[in-house]
This record gives sequence, structure tokens and C-alpha cells, in this order.
Amino acid sequence: MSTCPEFDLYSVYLDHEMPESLKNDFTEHLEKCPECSRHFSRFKNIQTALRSNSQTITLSKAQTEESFKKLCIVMNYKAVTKKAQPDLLIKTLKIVSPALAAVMVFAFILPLRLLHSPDVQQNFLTPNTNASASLINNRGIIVDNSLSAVLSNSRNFQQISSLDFSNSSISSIDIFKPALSNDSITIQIKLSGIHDILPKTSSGLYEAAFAGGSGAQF
Amino acid sequence: MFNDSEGRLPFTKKSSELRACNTSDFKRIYDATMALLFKISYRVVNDEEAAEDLAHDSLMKMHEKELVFPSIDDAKYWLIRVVKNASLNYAKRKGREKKAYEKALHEDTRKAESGETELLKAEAQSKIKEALNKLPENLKMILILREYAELNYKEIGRVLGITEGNVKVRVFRAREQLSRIIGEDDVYLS
Repeated sequence: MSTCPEFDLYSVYLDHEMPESLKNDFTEHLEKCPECSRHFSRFKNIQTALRSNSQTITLSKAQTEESFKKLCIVMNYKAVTKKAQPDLLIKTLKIVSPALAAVMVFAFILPLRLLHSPDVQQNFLTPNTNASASLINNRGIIVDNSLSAVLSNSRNFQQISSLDFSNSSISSIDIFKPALSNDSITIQIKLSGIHDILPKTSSGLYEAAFAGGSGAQF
Repeated sequence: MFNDSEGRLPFTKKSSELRACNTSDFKRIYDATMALLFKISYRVVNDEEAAEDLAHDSLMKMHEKELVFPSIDDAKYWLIRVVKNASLNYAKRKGREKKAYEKALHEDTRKAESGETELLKAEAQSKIKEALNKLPENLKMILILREYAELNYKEIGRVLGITEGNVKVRVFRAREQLSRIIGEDDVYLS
């Protein structure tokens, strides 16, 4: 049995791909060796079965012609119909508009959000229609609508009167002038309706001092 | 007459050269390859209509690309490669659905009525078909090209882009695996 050829040679022999010089030796061996002959006939049977199965898959002449007509119809249809190309202007707009939107976001919205305190900005950007007063991190008061409407509510007034201004920072409310170099600054704000709740002074103004030398007059 | 940049007449060509966009050449290629392409595709997808469409698609692709082949065999190899890939993709997409198609084929029903030997042969065939479907994709394809398309090792190598030696090894492995799948007990096949 040691002289038996490698199994892959059966396959090569079966496919007539074996060189002529080896072919005769191999045929002789197959006749003598029952083991090899059994292996080979197994391969041969598989081939026969596959080939006879292959015979069942056929296209007759008529079917082939019929199929060719079908193919021609499809090809002609493809030749005369083409996917419509969109208008150049619309095409350009489609590309440019998202880019423009992105530029707007980067140029206008992002700097505002990055440079300033989000608390203050939010109050400026989204004005509240209801009258209210709120304390922002112990730094200042934001008052929407008329002050008298706010102060008419006693609870709100109590909250405002107990505010602590010692840690106030002027920069937190100054959006448009971020660079304040002077130590002392005076801000004058006129509040309508303030006299209804606070005693009047001769000048009609109320003063409050901020830490760090900043001062505010009401 | 207008000559092209290379100084040749626009419609002249080498006698053996085949142009896919030329109507008579296209018909020649079609006649020579359609049955083969259908057979290969059908064995992979198990559906007559799909096989026909896939064969058509490959021919249309060749036409659209306006390919030029030095011989009819080159056209055949190119088309087989295209139809093989398309069919494998299609079969993958369809997955288990193809089994349902297989049951509805006439090739099986026709044979059931014939004599005992024929019946045995038919059984053997359906068995071998099932076994073939169980083979890994690359081995299955190589056997289809060998036994259904009846290409030799060199041609299979050209279609698949592998060496002849590699084809030889794969054909052997495919047969061996197929033989193992069918099992020793099959009287007709063993």
C-alpha cells in the first residue's frame, strides 16, 4: 500500500489533467489496487451524478431566443430612460445651505455661548413675559417687566430686601463691554415704580456699594 | 472618413476582437454564453427567473461598459466571473428562501414518474445537490465551474483569479468533502 499515490491524484486523473507520462502508471495501479479503485470510483460517481444533474439545467433554443428578446427590451428601455438630473441651482443650494447654516452657528451662536455666563445670557435671550425677580448666584437681580408688578407681591419683596450684594461681580451682567479696566465704576439705572416701596431721597436716587470699589446708583 | 487619434478607421477592428457594444458581436457572445451563465447562476440561486435575470445583468453590464475582448473565451470568463459573484450575493440575500424554490422545480417532479433505476438516479441527484449546497462557498463554486460549466483547471483559474495548482487542490477538497457529506451508506454513489 506504500506505493499508493496521493489521494488528490484521483481528482486530477478524473479531470484528465494528469500528464501523459504518469497516466499509464496510474491506470495500471488502479486496476491492481482495490482500495484505490474504490476511492476512485467514489469520486467518479460523484462526478457522474453532478454531470447528470447539470444536464437537467438547460435552456432550449427557443428559450434562449425568447430570453434574448427580453434582454433587448430591457436594454432598449435602459437606453431611452435615464435618471433625471436635478437642476443645477437646486443642486448647488442643497450643498451650500447646510454649510451656510454651519457657518452661522459657528460665527454667531457659539461665541455668545462661550464668552458669557450662561445664567445671565439665558435671561437676556429668552425674556419672560411674567413679572418676576430672581437672584442670580448672589450677584445681582434680574427684573423682568415692571418692578411694581414684582414688588406688589410681598414674598418677592422679602426675598429682594434680603439680598447680599457683597460678592457681586459687575462683569456678570455686562455683555457688550467685557473689558472693564477701572477699579471703580458707576452705573445708573432708572427704575419706574421704585418710589412706591422705598423712602424717597432728595436726589431721587438710591445708592448701593459693590465690593471691589464698584458702585451702583438707583 | 474620420480617423481617430491613433490613425485607425473608427469602425475597423481586429478580426478576432469582440466589442460588447457591437450588435452582432453582442449576439455572438450571447449565443455562446447564455446557456452556460444560466446554468451556473441557476445552480447557485436555485431559481429559474433569478438565474435568467442575473445572466442578463452580467451581459448588460458588459454592454454598458463597452468592453472589448480579444476572444470569445475571454468574454466567457469575464461573464462567468460577474454572474458567479452576482449569484452568490443573490443567494446570500435570499438565504433560506431558496429551499422553498427548490421544491417547486419541475426537474424533480418529472423524474419521480420514471422507472426504478431512474428513481434511484433522481434520488442520488437530489442527494448530491443537497450535499453540494452544504459545501463552503469557494468549494461549491469550484465544483460548479468544473462539473456544470465543464471548465478545465486553467479556465477555472482564470475565472477565479487563482493558480492552476490551487484549483487542483480545491477540486480535490471539494470532492472529498462532498463524498464525506453524502456518507458511506449511499449504494448508488459509493
